[in-house]
Amino acid sequence: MLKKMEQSCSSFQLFKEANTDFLKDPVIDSFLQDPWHYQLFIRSLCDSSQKIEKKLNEAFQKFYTKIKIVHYLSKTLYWEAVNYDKRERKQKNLFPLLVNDESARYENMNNVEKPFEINQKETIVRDLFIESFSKTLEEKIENPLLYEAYHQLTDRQQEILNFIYNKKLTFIETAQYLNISQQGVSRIHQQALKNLKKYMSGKKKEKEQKWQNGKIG
Amino acid sequence: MAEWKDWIEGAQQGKAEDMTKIIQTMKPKIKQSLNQTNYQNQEDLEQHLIEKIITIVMTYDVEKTPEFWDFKDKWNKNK
Repeated sequence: MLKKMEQSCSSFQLFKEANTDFLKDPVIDSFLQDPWHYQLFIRSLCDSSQKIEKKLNEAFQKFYTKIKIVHYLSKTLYWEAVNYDKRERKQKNLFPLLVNDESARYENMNNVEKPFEINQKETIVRDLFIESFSKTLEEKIENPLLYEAYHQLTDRQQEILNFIYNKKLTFIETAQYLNISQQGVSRIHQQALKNLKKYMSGKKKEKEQKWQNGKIG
Repeated sequence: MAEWKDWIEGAQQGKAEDMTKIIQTMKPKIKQSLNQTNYQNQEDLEQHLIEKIITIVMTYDVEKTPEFWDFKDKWNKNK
């Protein structure tokens, strides 16, 4: 029955010819492997009834949600486990489990006073540390080209970059702060970096061209 | 195979059994990830990972997933 529909429906044939690459996309390909999905797909092209279209959209959303979240969860679980182990090992190095040893305790007591002598070097470090929190990202940029590029970004993009790179918040914290979803933050962040790169490489090329033109002229 | 969307929506509405199903499905991946740490820490890590799954699922925005023709539009744009 499907074969018949395939052949009798001209819009399907047309679509197939015009979108061969799209049909080869791994997501679409595996989606259409399912006979039920495939049938919905053909029928939505041929009948173009809203009911079928809605069904196709629903089926695809379900299918794609699964792929996306399983991929996302697997990646997160792996990195979460790696980082957990790292943290745990660091903790162990800092606070090893020691058997009570009196001599070790006295040794430690002698060392206690040292951290309280703040020398000049430490004050500088401390000031730098405080400064790093009070300055905005914009004030910290040293490269003039990057500074220029940064100003090309939208306010929202600047705000999010400031949260992530200056205040060192995670995507999730930023999302909660701005009351948007974590995916949203990630998207804006990615777009911002893309824009920066685009602007900067564009300017660089311009410079090179100018230089070359000068050489010829 | 297509239940994930329902599970996520159910879990976000507070249905514990849907969340359990998600965690059960991800169990093999959790177990696999446990090999990243030593034996003493594995139980702690497992709890930590499950907690992570729960936070991700609770904040996941199902509506952001594109529909079929939206996906095609996006696909064409990215090309």
